[in-house]
Amino acid sequence: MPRRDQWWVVLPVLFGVFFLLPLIGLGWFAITDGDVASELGSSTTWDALRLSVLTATLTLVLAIVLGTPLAYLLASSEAGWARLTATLLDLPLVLPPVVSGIALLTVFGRRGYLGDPLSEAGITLSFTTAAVVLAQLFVAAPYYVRAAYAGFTAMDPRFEGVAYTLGLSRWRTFRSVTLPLVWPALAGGAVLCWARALGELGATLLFAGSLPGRTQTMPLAILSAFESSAGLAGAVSIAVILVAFALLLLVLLHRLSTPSGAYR
Amino acid sequence: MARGRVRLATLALLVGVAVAAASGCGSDGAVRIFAASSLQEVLPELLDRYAEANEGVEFEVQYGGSQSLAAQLELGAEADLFLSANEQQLERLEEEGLIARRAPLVVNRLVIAVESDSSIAVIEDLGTSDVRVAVGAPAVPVGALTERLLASLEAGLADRIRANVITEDPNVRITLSRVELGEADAAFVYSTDLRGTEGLRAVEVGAEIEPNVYVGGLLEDADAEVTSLLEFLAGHEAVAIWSRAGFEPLNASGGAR
Repeated sequence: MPRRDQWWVVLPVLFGVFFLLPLIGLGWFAITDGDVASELGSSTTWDALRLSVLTATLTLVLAIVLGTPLAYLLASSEAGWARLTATLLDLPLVLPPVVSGIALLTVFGRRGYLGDPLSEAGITLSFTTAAVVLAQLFVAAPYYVRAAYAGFTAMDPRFEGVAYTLGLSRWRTFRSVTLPLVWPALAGGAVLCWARALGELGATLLFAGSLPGRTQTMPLAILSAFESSAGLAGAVSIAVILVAFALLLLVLLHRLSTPSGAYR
Repeated sequence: MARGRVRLATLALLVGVAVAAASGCGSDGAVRIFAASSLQEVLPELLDRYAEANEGVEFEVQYGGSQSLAAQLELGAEADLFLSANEQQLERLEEEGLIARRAPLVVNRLVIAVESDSSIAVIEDLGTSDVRVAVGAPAVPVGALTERLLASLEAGLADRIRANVITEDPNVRITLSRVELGEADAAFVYSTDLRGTEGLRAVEVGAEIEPNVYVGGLLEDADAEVTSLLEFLAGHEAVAIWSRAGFEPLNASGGAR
């Protein structure tokens, strides 16, 4: 019997149950009705899984390489444009992914504003694996940049100041002072970004299409299976594989992002 | 303390009301129809006509891919009438014992959608290199039909067309949008999908393949009102509306049961 003033614990427990039950339901459905074993043996599933992990990881690398300097720049600037840019970066988070896909097409598609110059340079983006990465980057990178921006903003600038007065170079300061301080924020953002990229569906479908082996990631394979005669059972079987795999990688990423694994 | 409890109770009440309102959203007495996305243009007109003769009847229509709808029904979604874009999905539900009665409605032809000023004139043109072709996923009715068509072609041509495919979409509307957006040069869609679109024209596939039959299925527990609606949709009164939308009556194709 919990103490009288601890009644509120009921709320988090209820909330936890709300998230756990559907996952258990999914797993149970796959065990009783689905055929996880045959989906595990299907080359379409493996192609999709490989493509998903490859593209989501590429997306994460790009988000870190391009997003960290951006977040740092925005956080260290007091100017109005910096705050405006930070707000604009949140926009892809609220856009329905399908809209993001159309937005990407209007720029990078064959009829897009950059379509002609790109095709003259011999580059076709839409409906390629590169398009999958761009779609994921557009939708998922803001999660990383957002977290990094919050991390850099919360950091006390005096630490960097002291490092400079001690004669440390800009890069050395960033590496030995700034980075360890904001590491948890960056790692948390990276996990979110990677996870969101792995689950991306709408923007990918619009901008990259769904072709097995080239652009059909796990979520698209699940959608296709859902639409097929194998229907629900097939879709759920693939979904469970994705969930299991994602869980494994999330556990790994979380271990990397905890203080014990932090950059030193 | 007491005031805190009152506030909490109010909050709980609000949440309860919101949930109840959201879950009970107007399903009182209306005929609940699950319809294939390709019926989006024609069904409202058909229902209006039916409502003229049957005053007071109300409808609640949910559109989607026939497969998704069938899956939702399998999972226990409540509906009175299921209008499927092909027979397989309905048969799937029949096997589960969910369908009380069925009636074939109309057929839809497969065509190649291209832009009006496109140089594509015959299906052979799709085998040229650099042509980008959009098709439905093999699991979707329109994709299955396309696959049957390709299989009936000369093998070399079929392979060249398959090599030009850039996407296998889960939904025929998305496939059509590929040509509308200029991302694909050609898309295999139903003739009815081209109705109401601008700047597109249809290229005939030029092969004899069995057309796609739309079927209406009455779900178990649906009442008499719904039976008469299904009879109306399958009957001669509705033929003119179906035809105007590009669907063909069953006897014209000769293939339907």
